[in-house]
Formats: sequence, C-alpha cells, structure tokens
Amino acid sequence: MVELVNVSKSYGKGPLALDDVSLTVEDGEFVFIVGSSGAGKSTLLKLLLREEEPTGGKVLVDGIDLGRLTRRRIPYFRRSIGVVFQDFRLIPQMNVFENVAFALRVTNVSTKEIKRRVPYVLDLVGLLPKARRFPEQLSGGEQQRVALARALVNNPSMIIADEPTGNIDPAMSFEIVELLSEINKCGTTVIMVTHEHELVSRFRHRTVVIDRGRVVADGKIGGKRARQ
Amino acid sequence: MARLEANVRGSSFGYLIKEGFRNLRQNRAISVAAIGVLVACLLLVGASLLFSMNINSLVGYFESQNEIVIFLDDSVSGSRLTKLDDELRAVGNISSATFVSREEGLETWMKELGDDGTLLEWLVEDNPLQNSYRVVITDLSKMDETVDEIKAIRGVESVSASSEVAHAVTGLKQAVSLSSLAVIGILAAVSLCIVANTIRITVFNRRKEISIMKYVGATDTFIRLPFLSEGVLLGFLSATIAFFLLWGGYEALLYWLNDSALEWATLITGQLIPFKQVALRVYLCFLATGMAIGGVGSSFFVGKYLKV
Repeated sequence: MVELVNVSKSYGKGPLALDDVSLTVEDGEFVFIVGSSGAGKSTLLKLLLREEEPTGGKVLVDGIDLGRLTRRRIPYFRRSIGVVFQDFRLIPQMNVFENVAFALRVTNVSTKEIKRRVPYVLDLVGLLPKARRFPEQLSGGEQQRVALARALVNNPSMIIADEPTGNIDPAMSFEIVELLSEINKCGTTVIMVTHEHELVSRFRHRTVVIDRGRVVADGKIGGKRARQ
Repeated sequence: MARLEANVRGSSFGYLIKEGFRNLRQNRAISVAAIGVLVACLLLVGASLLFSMNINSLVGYFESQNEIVIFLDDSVSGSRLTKLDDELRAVGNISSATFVSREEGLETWMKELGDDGTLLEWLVEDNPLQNSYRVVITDLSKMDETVDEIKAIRGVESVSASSEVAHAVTGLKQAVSLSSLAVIGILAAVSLCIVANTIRITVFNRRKEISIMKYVGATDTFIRLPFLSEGVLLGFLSATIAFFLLWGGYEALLYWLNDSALEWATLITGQLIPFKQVALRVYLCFLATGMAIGGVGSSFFVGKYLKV
C-alpha cells in the first residue's frame, strides 16, 4: 500500500512542487495520475522511488516510511518496484534478452535464475521470438514492452510508469495499457502518469488529477467517486 | 518486505572485472590517452628513482674512498697507544680504523715512489713520519662532528680530512632525494587528474546504464566497482608498459656509457646499479603507484560525478 500523508515538496527556495498532498493507493489498484506539465506528477514519482525526500509530511510504501530509509537500504527498496519510462531507457548495445537480464544481473541474481526468469517475462509481453533482436530493430511499442519486461522481471509488488505511451503511436499505446491492466489483474499495483485523456477514459481506472502541486480530483472518470 | 531483506551474493567479482575491461574497450581513445600519460609519468618517476638509487650508490662509493688520516703525537706508545685505540673505536660513525705505524708509513711511501724509493732509504734511520690511523667514515654528513670528537682524544696531534668533498657529496645526496620527492609528488598529482578525467568521461558515456542500474535496485558499491576496476586496470597496464620501457631505456644508456670513450663515463659505469638487481623493486613500485593512483583516483572521483 502507498500512503502520502500531507506531503509537501519544494526545490530550494522555489514554489511548492507538491502542496499538502494526501493520497492512498491500495495493494492491487491501478491508478492514473494526470495533470499538465509542471503540475507535480514527476515529483510525486520521485518521492515514491525515494529519489527525493519530502519537505513536509510522510511517504509510506508497504508500511515503510521512506524518509527514514537509510541510503544503504534504498536499492533493496527499489527492487520491490518496477519502473517504466517514456523514453524506454534500453541499452542499445544489448539485445532484448540482455536488456531484461541486466536488471537481474546488477542485483546479483544467479545466471541459472536469469535463464529461467527472462524467457518467462518476455513470453508474458509477447516478445520471446524477438529475444535476440537489438532495440533499434524494434518498433516503439515493442521497445516499451521490453522495458516493461525489465520492470517485471524482479517480480515487483508495484509498477510505476512515467508516461509510458508518450513516445508511441495510439494503437500501440492501448496495447501497452492493456498489458499493464493484465499485470494489474494478477495483483501488481500500477501507478501510471499520463496526459492522454483517451486512455484514461477508455480504461476507466481510478484517476488522480494534480494541478499546481495539489490533488484536485480523485476517482473514476465519469464514475461516482470523483470529487472536485 | 521480504524483498528488502534480499542478500547480496558475493559471486559478481568476475562480472565486475569484465565490466572494467569493457569500459576500457568502449572508451578506447580516452583509455589509450590515459595509459599514455600514466606511462609517461611512471617513466619519469622510474627515471628519477633510478637516478636517485645510482647517486646513492656513487655517493656510497665516494664515501668508502674518502679516508681521513689521524696523526698521533710521537709520545704515544705502549699502553697509551692501546688506550687511544680503544677510545678511537668508541667514537661512533666510523666504519673502519687501520693503524699505520711510522715504519709502515715510510715503507708505503717508498713503494709508491717505485725505483725512486731508494732515495728515501736514508730516512730509515731517522724516520720523520708519525704513527697514524686511516679511518673511513660511515656517514659523511656527520664528518665535522666526528673529526671534532677524534681531535679531543688525548694523543691525537692532528686530523687531515677533506670536509669540502664530504659536504659536496652529502649536499648532492640531499638535493637528489628532495628533487626526486618533488618530481614524484607532482607526477602523482598529474596522474590523478588524468585518471579522474577518464572516469568522468566513462561515467558520462554510461549515464543511461547507471540510471537504469539505480532504478532496478543495484547497490552503490555494485555501480561503483566497475569504475574502480577500470582505474586499477589502467594503472596495471600503465605500470607494466612503463616498466619494460624503463628497462629498455636503462640498458641502452648503460650500453652507451660502456661503449663511450668519455673518461668520466668509464669511471662511473662500474658503480652503476644493474637493472636486474632492482627490477622487482621498480616493478612493484610501479604497480603500487599505478594501481593506487588508478584505484584511488577512480573511487574518489566516481563518487563526485556519480550521484548514486
């Protein structure tokens, strides 16, 4: 479970990037975070990944107060979260298999385990036949699926996706969110930042709207939970 | 929460070393430049080290050649001479003291003159020479104090010592040691800057991988170690190349000096240290310096450039 309790964040002496935000995401939920650029979406994700610390309030993930997490424990905490970025962040010199295996290799997983887990997640995202291809030989949607496989391979309890459909065409975008929804059905919490209203209205998951650092709406688009 | 407790396996050593080699290969141009500069620095350090070793060996040779002569009062003989001998040997900083009686002195003098020695025969009856001691000093820099101590012994009439030579030799030794230290210090600083720059470029080239590593939960150590192994590898390769170049250069110099018709060259070549005698020491010194500079440089600067 993710809990933000009266969280504020400012960078230096600048204005508040997040202003007294309180938000709870239950285990197994799928949440869209929407808002214009500069609204505070990225800051929210950085706080969840413990890349930044809040200026005020608390961020709790699975009961762990991230503000109290020592520097040494941060990597172990991050292994429980899968992250997907808008720009895929694949390593061009590595093929699909190696890109996914990289996430396991750098966390000290044995080669035997890598050989067992990587084909499994590649099959899950439908890319097992293209395991030996390099990123430049794949379409944008396929590259994002590789990134998703890399996020999944550590069997995380939560996936954080930062505008995962920002660099791919609409048809592929639906496919990616479809895949995330499937993963969510298996019990993984998904928090996805997007500004594509089409996706939000089509998939009808819980949607949190952030504007100028504040949560201004929280609920299903068109549903009864929405509050203004 | 169980995931947070996951332990780090210790079997990644091979992977990290491989990563170090991969970094070197991927940044070939900058690696070659860094190795080139490190080799040049180590060569200069090695040359200054060898120069200093050879100067010490030459100084040692001059020290052993630099005798002082103590002339004794004519009245000293019998038990007084034995006592004086004991007192002389009790003075520190003396490596050897040989008694030369007035008869032996005259005999040596006559031998030195060869055929003309017969001219001195008339002196045998009425020998004007004095009993003396030939003394070799251990540390020439303390020569003045030692001479003063000897002069204070009862029965010593005078001491003949060439303190100018002693001062020149010890001055040279100190100057060489100081300048060697300065050269080594400056070159170590230059080498550190070069390694730091190489690591900065590698970090920049690999920023994407590093950011992915951070997000998938690689520990700080795991991210930093490939840079450390890259630095150590740079140091190791540079040390090995510099060692063989220095060996070749030194042997060539010795060959040239041996072959040379210059009088001073033939005088000193016998005293110069053969490379094989110091090869292991030089190589270990190069390895230690190169790998320490590479390792320390990269681990220090990787923290600076890498916000993990």
